[in-house]
Amino acid sequence: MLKKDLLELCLLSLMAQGDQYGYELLRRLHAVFPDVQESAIYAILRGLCREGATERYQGETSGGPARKYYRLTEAGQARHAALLKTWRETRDALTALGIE
Amino acid sequence: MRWDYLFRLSLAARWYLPPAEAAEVLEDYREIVEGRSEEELRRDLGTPRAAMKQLAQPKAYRRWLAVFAVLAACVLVPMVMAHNDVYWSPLIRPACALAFCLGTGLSLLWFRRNGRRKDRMPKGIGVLLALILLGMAWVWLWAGLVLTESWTLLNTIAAYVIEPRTISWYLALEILAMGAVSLFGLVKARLGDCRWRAVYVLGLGGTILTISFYLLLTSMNFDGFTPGWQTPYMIRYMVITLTGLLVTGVSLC
Repeated sequence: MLKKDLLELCLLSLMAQGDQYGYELLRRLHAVFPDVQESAIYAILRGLCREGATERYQGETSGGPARKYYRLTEAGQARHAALLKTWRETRDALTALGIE
Repeated sequence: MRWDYLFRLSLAARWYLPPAEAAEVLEDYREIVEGRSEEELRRDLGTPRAAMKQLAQPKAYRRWLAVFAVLAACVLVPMVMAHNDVYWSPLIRPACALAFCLGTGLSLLWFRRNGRRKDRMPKGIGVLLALILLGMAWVWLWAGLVLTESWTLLNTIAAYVIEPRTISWYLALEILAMGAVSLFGLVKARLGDCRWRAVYVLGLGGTILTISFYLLLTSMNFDGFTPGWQTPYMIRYMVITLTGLLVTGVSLC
């Protein structure tokens, strides 16, 4: 499983918990993966949007600039499930080899 | 400093991405860069170029690069041929005609479909168009004297005002300047407003017109001064000038 897939899985998992504010997604992932630049995470997020796995919308605001939120689509839920399955298989394979 | 980063980011976005996507990405990045120093931005986001390059869709970006290469070649190939004095080559006239037709047609089509347009006419377009027109008028002045066979006047000018070699140098310099302005217009049409293509088109027309006259002067081939030798030259210069002006007008609309 590539790191890009892992980042995709993280983004999709966060969105599976509920709609997410785009900027917050970048900050949270960058905090967990400090060696990955936010621009790279943003590129993955846009890639997911382009593929139709997520969709964005403008949230309601009270005075300030409009915030962009992201949510999973049906295709995104399927992709999330597939990536999660791959991740579990990889983890089990590593555990079987004694790599924790 | 943050605005400096954002400025370079916007240039990179407009170079790598289609206009609509670039606008969307820049809107997002305005929020992302908010409240961070240049150092933090470089650390968290990388250089503006690297940040935008990873967003580019390879197929669309390669298509733009191919179009850019063709449009740049339309200006550069005739310039290189003229620089190497290949006036004797049977290829130079067809090459100039092809470059002019391809450059004007392709730029018109490409930027109509893939261009960004602001409400206001961008500053600087008018000045550059006026400069190109001035250069073209200068070429027309000399071409007029040659094509009307005003040898007495030309000899007087050559003897007392300006040496023939200097005229040739001026023309070579003008080809270089027109070509450079044309390429500048091409880059600006991608990075800014698509109406900058008018500068590219008129610059290309000016370059080809100047090259055509430069080749006539350097070849010293006046077809044995048979009656009506000027007609093909006159027609060629008229076609280049009028087509250039017409397409420039369309490009500005």
